[in-house]
Amino acid sequence: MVLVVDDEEMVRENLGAYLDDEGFTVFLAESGEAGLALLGRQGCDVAVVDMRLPGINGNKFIQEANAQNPGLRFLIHTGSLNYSPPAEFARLGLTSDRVFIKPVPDMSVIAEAIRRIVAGEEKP
Amino acid sequence: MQGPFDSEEADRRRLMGLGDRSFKKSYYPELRKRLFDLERFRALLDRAGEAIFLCDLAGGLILDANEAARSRLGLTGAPGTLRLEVAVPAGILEVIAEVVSGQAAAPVRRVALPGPGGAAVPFEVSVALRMFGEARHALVVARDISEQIAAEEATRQAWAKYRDIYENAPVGIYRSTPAGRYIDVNPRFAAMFGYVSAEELLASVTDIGRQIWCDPADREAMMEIIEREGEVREYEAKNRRADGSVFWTSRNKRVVRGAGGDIDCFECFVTDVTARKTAEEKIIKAQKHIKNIIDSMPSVMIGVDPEGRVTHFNQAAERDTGLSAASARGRDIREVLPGLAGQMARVRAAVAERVPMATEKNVVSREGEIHYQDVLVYPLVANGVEGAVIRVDDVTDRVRIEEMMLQSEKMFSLGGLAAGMAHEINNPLGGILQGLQNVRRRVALDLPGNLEAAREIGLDLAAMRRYLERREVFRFLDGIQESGERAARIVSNMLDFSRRGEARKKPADLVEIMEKTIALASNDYDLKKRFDFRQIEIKREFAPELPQVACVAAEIEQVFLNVLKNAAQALAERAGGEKPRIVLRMAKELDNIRIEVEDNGPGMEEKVRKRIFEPFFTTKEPGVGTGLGLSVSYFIITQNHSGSFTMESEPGKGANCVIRLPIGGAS
Repeated sequence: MVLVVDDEEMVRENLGAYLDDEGFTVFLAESGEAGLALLGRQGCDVAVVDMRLPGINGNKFIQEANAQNPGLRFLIHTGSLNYSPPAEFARLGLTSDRVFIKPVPDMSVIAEAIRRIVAGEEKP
Repeated sequence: MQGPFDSEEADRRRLMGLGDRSFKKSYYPELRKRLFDLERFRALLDRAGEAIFLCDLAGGLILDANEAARSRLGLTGAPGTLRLEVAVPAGILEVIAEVVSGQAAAPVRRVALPGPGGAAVPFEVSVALRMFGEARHALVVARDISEQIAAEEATRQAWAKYRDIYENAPVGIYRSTPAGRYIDVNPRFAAMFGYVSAEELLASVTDIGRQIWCDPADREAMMEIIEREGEVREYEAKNRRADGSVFWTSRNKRVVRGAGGDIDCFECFVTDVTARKTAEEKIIKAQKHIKNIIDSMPSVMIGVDPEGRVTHFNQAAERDTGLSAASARGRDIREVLPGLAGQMARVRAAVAERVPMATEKNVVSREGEIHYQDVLVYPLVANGVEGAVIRVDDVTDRVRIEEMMLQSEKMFSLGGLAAGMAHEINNPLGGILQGLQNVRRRVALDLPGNLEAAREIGLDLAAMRRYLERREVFRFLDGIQESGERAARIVSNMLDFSRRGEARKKPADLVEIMEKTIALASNDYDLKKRFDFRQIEIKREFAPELPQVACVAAEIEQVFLNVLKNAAQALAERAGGEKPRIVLRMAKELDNIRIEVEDNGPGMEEKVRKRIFEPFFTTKEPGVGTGLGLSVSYFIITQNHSGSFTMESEPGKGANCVIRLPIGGAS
């Protein structure tokens, strides 16, 4: 199950549709706060997170979501070229290879990354 | 005169030289001759100025007296009748008595005798004792020496007067021998040299060259002049006092020659000129100091008179104009500084109205290069001095740095703007491109969801695809994709500005990178379409053994390629003229490598040159370039490599791209 957090509607909807077509169960949230609320009701495996968000930003969302659901893993999908994940996220496996800079014309790379995470989770 | 003879007759005979025999013969002619001789002798004695008389000491009688004795001493009686004690003045009698008694050693004595008016008259008296026969006689000579004494006195007084001058003169005076010994020195000279008296100096100074002079060579030089000229005037030198202290003297010295023409001695006047010399030295030192201050100034400083003729010219002016101060002096300022010709009216106004005049960033062309000068003209304000000082500063470097700073600031803000814009555009681009991907997938025949949805609504999916193909919908989708991807590329390039160099710098050979880039440019398809790089003459002027530079080789390659492309494009714009040429230069400059890429293309206007690094700024028609090449290059050089990147160009004179890269990499 995948959560997409992005305030850009077209990006959110398109990524959601693609992942849906790929067979994932997808939940959409237009802000970090909405995402956290959703996670309270619904367990997810992976969250694809934008950085620049209204309200709490992506990093903050990751911290809170991790506190709420330590098993949740993250991918970054951002428009900022300069973004590099804080060192503390390394323990979540969140390193630069899980950062995708927009635009990502071929979303299969994201789908592959999610699959790898899920597979990794399944194989301890 | 009367002869002192025992027997008068015999005496007379003897006197006349007559013997008994001849007396009896004819004696008259002989006698007459003898009498005549006697008469002559008497006249001779009478004419003598001295009073002369002869007396018989035994008889106490005066036997003979000449005219002067008669007139001056009053011995006027007939010969043989005057008694010595009675007729002769007491002063003379005393002398006779002394001589007779043998008391007086000196044969000449001075006595005062009563004169005509009762006043004493000085006489010099000499008494000689003679034996005539058995009788002792005294021959007395008395001379009136009053005139001689007066003359002596006059001489003595004159001498005293001169002596007084000599002793009290405010200048040192001495006489010295040709051998170099002092004959005499005056007290002032002794005092000047720190001796208590002339005597002390004469006794102490045994080696003039070493004791009196600081440098014996000065003395030798002076002596040479004297030998050549016979005298020396105002010869100035350092001398030494008795206590060793040093002072300045000025000498006037001359040769005094003897009758035979040989050097008798030297006469010299010496004055202490230390005060003047010290003052002079102070003035010279002050002048030197002021000259030093003015010469040390990096500014060109030129003094001019009211007519604009050069009066002063400092070293910077010499360097700047290539003229020596001596040759510049007196020349018209316009000849000396042709760049100032246009400013003459203002210079004259500044002098006339006594107000400073300043112009900034005067453009002067020098050896084909543009230089900027600040010119300040200020009138001289001291009383009685007319004229002005012109200060010229070459501010080319400052102007260029200002320009570069402005450029860098502008570029920095543009970089920030680009980064912000890129981020904002990336989101919608994501929407477009990802949406497109979804559209393509959802009209595909192999997606399970598609098949299911089509079946639900009774759609023949394959027929729909054929329809979309027929209506070229996929072509339009391709168009959207291409456009979207191009926009993404532009944004990605734009973001290159703001991206700080994260790549690791490694020492690299710039010549190698340049050669690789040239090869790349020759095969660049975009470039080949418009201009064949291989038609351009590439001239390499690389300094040998250049050090490696810490850099990101790929980035530098990108810069070189952009610059070469830019030059090639500029060359493509030119019409005719000389063969298209790019000159590549590399040389070490301080801690940098200076890289130049110079083309002989059409060049550019100042306003174009100033904007050449701005992103999206391009002079080419749309489609030829993005206008990002030089901007990205600029950021790579200045931000990622801490170097500098400037463009020098003038219309019709080509363009020269100058890149400086620090050898050690970014600081």
